[in-house]
Amino acid sequence: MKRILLFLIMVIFLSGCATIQLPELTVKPASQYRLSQNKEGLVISVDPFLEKKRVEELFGTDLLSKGILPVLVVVENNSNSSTFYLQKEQSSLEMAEGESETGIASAGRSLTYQRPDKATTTLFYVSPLIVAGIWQSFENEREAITKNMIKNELRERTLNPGESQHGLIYFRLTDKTRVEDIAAVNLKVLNIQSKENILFSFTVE
Amino acid sequence: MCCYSNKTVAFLMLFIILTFFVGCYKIYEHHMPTAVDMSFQQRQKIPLRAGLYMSEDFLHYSYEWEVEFGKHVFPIGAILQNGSKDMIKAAFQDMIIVLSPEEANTKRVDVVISPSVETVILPYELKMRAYQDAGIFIKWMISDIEGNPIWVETIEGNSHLEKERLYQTREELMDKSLQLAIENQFQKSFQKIVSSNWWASIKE
Repeated sequence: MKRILLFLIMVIFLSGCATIQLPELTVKPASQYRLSQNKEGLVISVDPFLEKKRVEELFGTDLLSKGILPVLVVVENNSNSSTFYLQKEQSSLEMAEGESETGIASAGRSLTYQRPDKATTTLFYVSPLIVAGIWQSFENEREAITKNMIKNELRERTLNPGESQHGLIYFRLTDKTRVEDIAAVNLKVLNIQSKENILFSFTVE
Repeated sequence: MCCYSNKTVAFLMLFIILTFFVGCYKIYEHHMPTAVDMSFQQRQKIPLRAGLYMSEDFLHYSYEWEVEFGKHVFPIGAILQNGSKDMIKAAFQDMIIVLSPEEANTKRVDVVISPSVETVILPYELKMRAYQDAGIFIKWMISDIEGNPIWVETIEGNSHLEKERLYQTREELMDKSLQLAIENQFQKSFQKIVSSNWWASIKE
Protein backbone atom coordinates (compact mmCIF):
# COMPACT_ATOMS: atom_id res chain seq x y z
CA MET A 1 0.00 0.00 0.00
CA LYS A 2 2.81 2.36 0.94
CA ARG A 3 4.61 1.59 -2.31
CA ILE A 4 1.53 2.34 -4.38
CA LEU A 5 1.01 5.60 -2.52
CA LEU A 6 4.65 6.57 -3.03
CA PHE A 7 4.42 5.70 -6.72
CA LEU A 8 1.28 7.82 -7.14
CA ILE A 9 2.89 10.79 -5.41
CA MET A 10 5.96 10.44 -7.65
CA VAL A 11 3.80 10.27 -10.80
CA ILE A 12 1.82 13.37 -9.80
CA PHE A 13 4.97 15.24 -8.85
CA LEU A 14 6.96 14.36 -11.96
CA SER A 15 4.10 14.93 -14.39
CA GLY A 16 4.26 18.61 -13.42
CA CYS A 17 7.83 18.75 -14.72
CA ALA A 18 7.11 17.12 -18.07
CA THR A 19 7.28 19.32 -21.14
CA ILE A 20 6.41 18.35 -24.65
CA GLN A 21 8.46 19.33 -27.68
CA LEU A 22 6.32 20.26 -30.65
CA PRO A 23 7.68 20.44 -34.23
CA GLU A 24 7.73 23.57 -36.37
CA LEU A 25 5.00 23.98 -38.97
CA THR A 26 6.56 23.39 -42.40
CA VAL A 27 5.07 25.22 -45.34
CA LYS A 28 5.62 24.77 -49.10
CA PRO A 29 5.03 27.37 -51.84
CA ALA A 30 1.29 27.82 -52.46
CA SER A 31 1.39 26.24 -55.93
CA GLN A 32 2.69 22.93 -54.56
CA TYR A 33 -0.48 22.05 -52.65
CA ARG A 34 -3.16 19.82 -54.13
CA LEU A 35 -5.98 22.17 -53.12
CA SER A 36 -4.87 25.41 -54.75
CA GLN A 37 -6.67 28.19 -56.64
CA ASN A 38 -5.66 31.37 -58.42
CA LYS A 39 -8.12 34.24 -58.75
CA GLU A 40 -7.17 37.75 -59.89
CA GLY A 41 -3.52 36.93 -59.26
CA LEU A 42 -4.11 35.79 -55.69
CA VAL A 43 -3.03 32.19 -55.08
CA ILE A 44 -4.56 30.45 -52.09
CA SER A 45 -3.90 26.86 -51.04
CA VAL A 46 -5.46 24.93 -48.18
CA ASP A 47 -4.37 21.78 -46.42
CA PRO A 48 -6.92 20.46 -43.90
CA PHE A 49 -5.48 18.30 -41.13
CA LEU A 50 -7.97 15.46 -41.49
CA GLU A 51 -5.75 12.66 -40.21
CA LYS A 52 -5.48 12.06 -36.47
CA LYS A 53 -1.79 11.09 -36.71
CA ARG A 54 -0.83 14.32 -38.50
CA VAL A 55 -2.72 16.44 -35.99
CA GLU A 56 -1.06 14.67 -33.05
CA GLU A 57 2.39 15.12 -34.58
CA LEU A 58 2.03 18.88 -34.95
CA PHE A 59 -0.08 19.71 -31.90
CA GLY A 60 0.89 17.03 -29.41
CA THR A 61 -2.75 16.10 -28.93
CA ASP A 62 -5.68 14.88 -31.00
CA LEU A 63 -7.52 18.13 -31.66
CA LEU A 64 -10.02 16.35 -33.91
CA SER A 65 -11.40 14.32 -31.03
CA LYS A 66 -11.79 17.58 -29.11
CA GLY A 67 -13.87 19.03 -31.94
CA ILE A 68 -11.21 21.21 -33.56
CA LEU A 69 -10.13 20.97 -37.20
CA PRO A 70 -6.94 22.85 -38.13
CA VAL A 71 -6.66 23.97 -41.76
CA LEU A 72 -3.38 25.30 -43.12
CA VAL A 73 -3.85 28.29 -45.44
CA VAL A 74 -1.05 29.56 -47.71
CA VAL A 75 -1.62 32.85 -49.55
CA GLU A 76 0.52 34.56 -52.20
CA ASN A 77 -0.39 37.84 -53.84
CA ASN A 78 1.06 37.54 -57.35
CA SER A 79 -1.05 40.34 -58.82
CA ASN A 80 0.48 43.51 -60.22
CA SER A 81 -1.53 46.10 -58.37
CA SER A 82 -4.27 44.59 -56.20
CA THR A 83 -4.28 44.43 -52.42
CA PHE A 84 -6.24 41.62 -50.80
CA TYR A 85 -7.63 40.95 -47.36
CA LEU A 86 -8.47 37.38 -46.30
CA GLN A 87 -11.28 37.70 -43.76
CA LYS A 88 -10.52 34.81 -41.43
CA GLU A 89 -13.69 35.13 -39.40
CA GLN A 90 -15.77 34.69 -42.56
CA SER A 91 -14.18 31.31 -43.26
CA SER A 92 -16.39 28.26 -43.13
CA LEU A 93 -16.60 24.55 -43.71
CA GLU A 94 -19.30 23.07 -45.87
CA MET A 95 -20.68 19.67 -44.92
CA ALA A 96 -21.95 16.99 -47.27
CA GLU A 97 -25.06 16.45 -45.17
CA GLY A 98 -26.75 19.15 -43.18
CA GLU A 99 -26.94 19.40 -39.43
CA SER A 100 -28.23 21.98 -37.03
CA GLU A 101 -26.11 24.41 -35.03
CA THR A 102 -22.99 26.28 -35.94
CA GLY A 103 -20.83 28.57 -33.91
CA ILE A 104 -18.38 31.35 -34.55
CA ALA A 105 -15.95 32.22 -31.82
CA SER A 106 -13.11 34.63 -31.43
CA ALA A 107 -10.79 35.53 -28.59
CA GLY A 108 -12.50 36.94 -25.54
CA ARG A 109 -16.00 36.82 -27.00
CA SER A 110 -18.82 34.40 -26.42
CA LEU A 111 -20.18 32.00 -28.97
CA THR A 112 -23.04 33.16 -31.13
CA TYR A 113 -25.11 30.45 -32.70
CA GLN A 114 -26.95 30.46 -35.94
CA ARG A 115 -28.86 27.96 -37.99
CA PRO A 116 -27.60 27.00 -41.42
CA ASP A 117 -30.02 26.72 -44.27
CA LYS A 118 -30.89 23.74 -46.44
CA ALA A 119 -28.66 20.72 -46.43
CA THR A 120 -25.33 22.24 -45.56
CA THR A 121 -23.75 22.82 -42.22
CA THR A 122 -21.37 25.69 -41.93
CA LEU A 123 -18.74 25.43 -39.26
CA PHE A 124 -16.88 28.51 -38.36
CA TYR A 125 -13.43 29.42 -37.23
CA VAL A 126 -12.55 29.17 -33.56
CA SER A 127 -9.85 30.98 -31.61
CA PRO A 128 -7.12 28.90 -29.91
CA LEU A 129 -7.77 30.70 -26.64
CA ILE A 130 -11.26 29.30 -26.42
CA VAL A 131 -9.96 25.93 -27.52
CA ALA A 132 -7.54 25.98 -24.62
CA GLY A 133 -10.37 26.00 -22.14
CA ILE A 134 -12.09 23.03 -23.72
CA TRP A 135 -10.06 20.26 -22.20
CA GLN A 136 -8.29 19.81 -18.94
CA SER A 137 -4.75 18.66 -19.19
CA PHE A 138 -1.55 19.11 -17.29
CA GLU A 139 -0.52 22.75 -17.19
CA ASN A 140 2.80 22.42 -18.95
CA GLU A 141 1.29 20.45 -21.77
CA ARG A 142 -1.63 22.83 -22.07
CA GLU A 143 0.73 25.78 -22.23
CA ALA A 144 2.88 24.20 -24.94
CA ILE A 145 -0.15 23.17 -27.01
CA THR A 146 -1.92 26.51 -26.69
CA LYS A 147 1.20 28.53 -27.45
CA ASN A 148 1.87 26.34 -30.48
CA MET A 149 -1.69 26.85 -31.75
CA ILE A 150 -1.51 30.61 -31.22
CA LYS A 151 1.94 30.83 -32.81
CA ASN A 152 0.75 29.04 -35.94
CA GLU A 153 -2.60 30.79 -36.29
CA LEU A 154 -3.28 32.79 -39.44
CA ARG A 155 -3.26 36.49 -38.63
CA GLU A 156 -5.53 38.90 -40.44
CA ARG A 157 -3.74 41.47 -42.60
CA THR A 158 -3.90 43.14 -45.99
CA LEU A 159 -1.57 41.64 -48.58
CA ASN A 160 0.12 43.95 -51.08
CA PRO A 161 1.45 42.73 -54.45
CA GLY A 162 4.41 40.40 -53.91
CA GLU A 163 3.52 39.64 -50.30
CA SER A 164 2.55 36.26 -48.86
CA GLN A 165 1.32 34.81 -45.59
CA HIS A 166 0.45 31.46 -44.09
CA GLY A 167 -1.10 30.07 -40.95
CA LEU A 168 -3.77 27.83 -39.54
CA ILE A 169 -7.47 28.50 -39.20
CA TYR A 170 -9.17 26.46 -36.48
CA PHE A 171 -12.71 25.28 -37.13
CA ARG A 172 -15.04 24.09 -34.43
CA LEU A 173 -16.73 20.78 -35.16
CA THR A 174 -20.02 20.14 -33.43
CA ASP A 175 -20.85 16.81 -31.80
CA LYS A 176 -22.89 15.75 -34.77
CA THR A 177 -20.29 16.45 -37.43
CA ARG A 178 -17.64 14.04 -38.63
CA VAL A 179 -14.41 14.90 -40.42
CA GLU A 180 -15.38 12.52 -43.25
CA ASP A 181 -18.46 14.63 -43.97
CA ILE A 182 -16.52 17.82 -44.74
CA ALA A 183 -17.23 18.69 -48.36
CA ALA A 184 -15.46 22.01 -48.81
CA VAL A 185 -13.41 24.75 -47.17
CA ASN A 186 -14.65 28.24 -48.04
CA LEU A 187 -12.55 31.38 -47.69
CA LYS A 188 -13.65 34.93 -48.36
CA VAL A 189 -11.21 37.51 -49.65
CA LEU A 190 -11.80 41.22 -50.19
CA ASN A 191 -10.16 43.06 -53.06
CA ILE A 192 -9.32 46.38 -51.39
CA GLN A 193 -9.30 48.42 -54.62
CA SER A 194 -12.47 47.04 -56.25
CA LYS A 195 -14.21 46.49 -52.86
CA GLU A 196 -15.49 43.15 -54.19
CA ASN A 197 -15.49 39.88 -52.31
CA ILE A 198 -13.94 36.82 -53.91
CA LEU A 199 -14.98 33.36 -52.71
CA PHE A 200 -12.40 30.58 -52.73
CA SER A 201 -14.11 27.22 -52.34
CA PHE A 202 -11.94 24.10 -52.03
CA THR A 203 -13.63 20.74 -52.46
CA VAL A 204 -12.32 18.21 -49.95
CA GLU A 205 -12.28 14.60 -51.16
CA MET B 1 -7.88 3.11 13.49
CA CYS B 2 -9.51 -0.23 14.22
CA CYS B 3 -12.83 1.53 14.89
CA TYR B 4 -13.19 2.94 11.33
CA SER B 5 -13.87 1.02 8.20
CA ASN B 6 -11.92 1.71 5.00
CA LYS B 7 -15.01 3.30 3.47
CA THR B 8 -15.34 5.80 6.32
CA VAL B 9 -11.69 6.74 6.07
CA ALA B 10 -12.00 7.22 2.32
CA PHE B 11 -15.07 9.46 2.73
CA LEU B 12 -13.36 11.46 5.42
CA MET B 13 -10.28 11.98 3.26
CA LEU B 14 -12.40 12.99 0.28
CA PHE B 15 -14.29 15.48 2.43
CA ILE B 16 -11.06 16.99 3.75
CA ILE B 17 -9.54 17.24 0.26
CA LEU B 18 -12.68 18.84 -1.19
CA THR B 19 -12.91 21.35 1.66
CA PHE B 20 -9.26 22.20 1.22
CA PHE B 21 -9.46 22.78 -2.55
CA VAL B 22 -12.73 24.73 -2.48
CA GLY B 23 -11.24 27.05 0.11
CA CYS B 24 -8.18 27.55 -2.08
CA TYR B 25 -9.99 29.06 -5.08
CA LYS B 26 -8.93 32.65 -5.28
CA ILE B 27 -9.49 35.54 -7.65
CA TYR B 28 -6.46 37.80 -8.07
CA GLU B 29 -7.54 41.27 -9.16
CA HIS B 30 -4.54 42.95 -10.76
CA HIS B 31 -4.05 46.70 -10.72
CA MET B 32 -2.79 47.47 -14.17
CA PRO B 33 -1.46 50.91 -15.14
CA THR B 34 -3.90 53.05 -17.10
CA ALA B 35 -1.36 54.74 -19.39
CA VAL B 36 1.58 53.59 -21.46
CA ASP B 37 5.01 54.67 -20.30
CA MET B 38 6.44 55.55 -23.69
CA SER B 39 6.57 58.19 -26.41
CA PHE B 40 6.09 57.96 -30.15
CA GLN B 41 8.63 59.75 -32.34
CA GLN B 42 7.36 60.87 -35.73
CA ARG B 43 8.84 63.64 -37.85
CA GLN B 44 6.13 63.82 -40.44
CA LYS B 45 2.57 62.92 -39.58
CA ILE B 46 0.18 61.18 -41.95
CA PRO B 47 -1.80 64.08 -43.50
CA LEU B 48 -5.24 62.70 -42.61
CA ARG B 49 -7.95 63.32 -40.05
CA ALA B 50 -8.40 60.00 -38.27
CA GLY B 51 -11.44 58.89 -36.31
CA LEU B 52 -10.51 56.41 -33.59
CA TYR B 53 -13.35 54.00 -32.89
CA MET B 54 -12.94 51.73 -29.87
CA SER B 55 -15.67 49.17 -29.24
CA GLU B 56 -17.09 48.51 -25.76
CA ASP B 57 -15.22 45.18 -25.77
CA PHE B 58 -11.95 46.98 -26.36
CA LEU B 59 -12.59 49.82 -23.89
CA HIS B 60 -13.36 47.41 -21.08
CA TYR B 61 -11.11 44.55 -22.07
CA SER B 62 -10.19 42.35 -19.17
CA TYR B 63 -7.99 39.33 -19.58
CA GLU B 64 -8.94 36.43 -17.34
CA TRP B 65 -6.39 33.74 -16.83
CA GLU B 66 -7.35 30.48 -15.17
CA VAL B 67 -4.70 28.89 -12.99
CA GLU B 68 -4.68 26.13 -10.41
CA PHE B 69 -7.39 26.86 -7.84
CA GLY B 70 -8.09 30.38 -8.99
CA LYS B 71 -7.86 32.99 -11.67
CA HIS B 72 -6.02 36.20 -12.37
CA VAL B 73 -7.99 39.15 -13.75
CA PHE B 74 -6.08 41.82 -15.67
CA PRO B 75 -8.20 44.88 -16.51
CA ILE B 76 -6.23 46.27 -19.46
CA GLY B 77 -9.00 48.28 -21.17
CA ALA B 78 -7.76 51.62 -19.81
CA ILE B 79 -4.14 51.17 -20.87
CA LEU B 80 -5.25 49.97 -24.32
CA GLN B 81 -7.60 52.93 -24.69
CA ASN B 82 -5.01 55.54 -23.66
CA GLY B 83 -2.21 53.87 -25.60
CA SER B 84 -4.34 53.83 -28.76
CA LYS B 85 -5.18 57.53 -28.36
CA ASP B 86 -1.52 58.48 -27.85
CA MET B 87 -0.37 56.39 -30.78
CA ILE B 88 -2.97 57.63 -33.29
CA LYS B 89 -2.44 61.24 -32.16
CA ALA B 90 1.27 60.86 -32.83
CA ALA B 91 0.81 59.18 -36.21
CA PHE B 92 -1.87 61.42 -37.76
CA GLN B 93 -2.17 65.12 -38.39
CA ASP B 94 -5.52 65.18 -36.62
CA MET B 95 -7.36 62.67 -34.47
CA ILE B 96 -10.81 62.55 -32.90
CA ILE B 97 -12.70 59.85 -31.05
CA VAL B 98 -15.80 58.52 -32.78
CA LEU B 99 -18.43 56.71 -30.76
CA SER B 100 -19.60 54.56 -33.65
CA PRO B 101 -18.28 53.81 -37.13
CA GLU B 102 -21.35 55.63 -38.53
CA GLU B 103 -20.40 58.83 -36.71
CA ALA B 104 -17.36 59.14 -38.96
CA ASN B 105 -19.53 60.72 -41.67
CA THR B 106 -20.75 63.56 -39.49
CA LYS B 107 -17.34 64.21 -37.94
CA ARG B 108 -15.73 64.64 -41.37
CA VAL B 109 -12.88 62.23 -40.83
CA ASP B 110 -10.84 60.72 -43.66
CA VAL B 111 -10.43 57.26 -42.13
CA VAL B 112 -11.75 55.25 -39.20
CA ILE B 113 -9.29 53.24 -37.13
CA SER B 114 -10.56 50.40 -34.98
CA PRO B 115 -8.38 48.19 -32.80
CA SER B 116 -9.47 44.84 -31.34
CA VAL B 117 -7.71 42.40 -29.03
CA GLU B 118 -7.11 39.05 -30.70
CA THR B 119 -5.19 37.14 -28.06
CA VAL B 120 -3.30 37.59 -24.79
CA ILE B 121 -0.70 35.03 -23.78
CA LEU B 122 0.68 34.37 -20.33
CA PRO B 123 2.38 31.10 -19.41
CA TYR B 124 0.46 28.57 -17.40
CA GLU B 125 3.33 27.47 -15.29
CA LEU B 126 5.04 30.12 -13.19
CA LYS B 127 6.22 28.60 -10.00
CA MET B 128 9.67 27.53 -11.01
CA ARG B 129 10.46 30.33 -13.42
CA ALA B 130 12.75 33.25 -12.83
CA TYR B 131 11.27 35.15 -15.76
CA GLN B 132 7.93 36.05 -17.20
CA ASP B 133 6.94 36.01 -20.88
CA ALA B 134 3.84 37.79 -22.08
CA GLY B 135 2.29 38.48 -25.44
CA ILE B 136 -0.64 40.35 -26.91
CA PHE B 137 -2.05 40.39 -30.45
CA ILE B 138 -4.07 43.40 -31.56
CA LYS B 139 -5.78 43.72 -34.91
CA TRP B 140 -5.76 47.23 -36.38
CA MET B 141 -8.31 47.92 -39.05
CA ILE B 142 -8.31 51.16 -41.01
CA SER B 143 -11.45 51.75 -43.06
CA ASP B 144 -12.82 54.51 -45.26
CA ILE B 145 -15.88 56.45 -44.06
CA GLU B 146 -18.17 53.92 -45.74
CA GLY B 147 -16.67 51.12 -43.68
CA ASN B 148 -14.59 49.50 -46.43
CA PRO B 149 -11.29 48.15 -45.09
CA ILE B 150 -8.20 49.89 -46.49
CA TRP B 151 -5.43 48.47 -44.31
CA VAL B 152 -5.49 45.63 -41.80
CA GLU B 153 -2.65 44.26 -39.71
CA THR B 154 -2.47 42.04 -36.64
CA ILE B 155 0.50 43.02 -34.52
CA GLU B 156 2.12 40.99 -31.80
CA GLY B 157 3.66 42.67 -28.80
CA ASN B 158 5.79 40.64 -26.43
CA SER B 159 8.05 40.89 -23.44
CA HIS B 160 10.59 38.76 -21.66
CA LEU B 161 11.17 39.97 -18.15
CA GLU B 162 13.85 38.59 -15.88
CA LYS B 163 13.05 38.44 -12.21
CA GLU B 164 15.29 41.31 -11.22
CA ARG B 165 14.69 41.61 -7.54
CA LEU B 166 14.06 38.82 -5.11
CA TYR B 167 11.39 40.76 -3.29
CA GLN B 168 9.38 41.37 -6.44
CA THR B 169 6.17 39.38 -6.13
CA ARG B 170 4.87 37.06 -8.78
CA GLU B 171 1.87 39.35 -9.33
CA GLU B 172 4.10 42.41 -9.81
CA LEU B 173 6.17 40.47 -12.30
CA MET B 174 3.09 39.47 -14.27
CA ASP B 175 1.71 43.03 -14.32
CA LYS B 176 5.00 44.49 -15.48
CA SER B 177 5.45 41.82 -18.08
CA LEU B 178 1.99 42.36 -19.57
CA GLN B 179 2.46 46.15 -19.51
CA LEU B 180 5.73 45.80 -21.44
CA ALA B 181 4.08 43.51 -23.98
CA ILE B 182 1.30 46.08 -24.51
CA GLU B 183 3.85 48.89 -24.95
CA ASN B 184 5.90 46.76 -27.33
CA GLN B 185 2.73 46.14 -29.33
CA PHE B 186 2.00 49.89 -29.58
CA GLN B 187 5.56 50.62 -30.66
CA LYS B 188 5.40 48.01 -33.43
CA SER B 189 1.89 49.09 -34.51
CA PHE B 190 3.00 52.71 -34.70
CA GLN B 191 5.98 51.79 -36.90
CA LYS B 192 3.79 49.67 -39.18
CA ILE B 193 1.13 52.35 -39.62
CA VAL B 194 3.53 55.21 -40.36
CA SER B 195 6.02 53.28 -42.49
CA SER B 196 3.49 52.04 -45.02
CA ASN B 197 1.99 54.25 -47.75
CA TRP B 198 -1.51 52.79 -47.53
CA TRP B 199 -2.94 56.30 -47.13
CA ALA B 200 -1.45 57.76 -50.34
CA SER B 201 -4.55 57.11 -52.47
CA ILE B 202 -6.98 58.66 -49.98
CA LYS B 203 -5.72 62.18 -50.43
CA GLU B 204 -5.84 62.00 -54.22
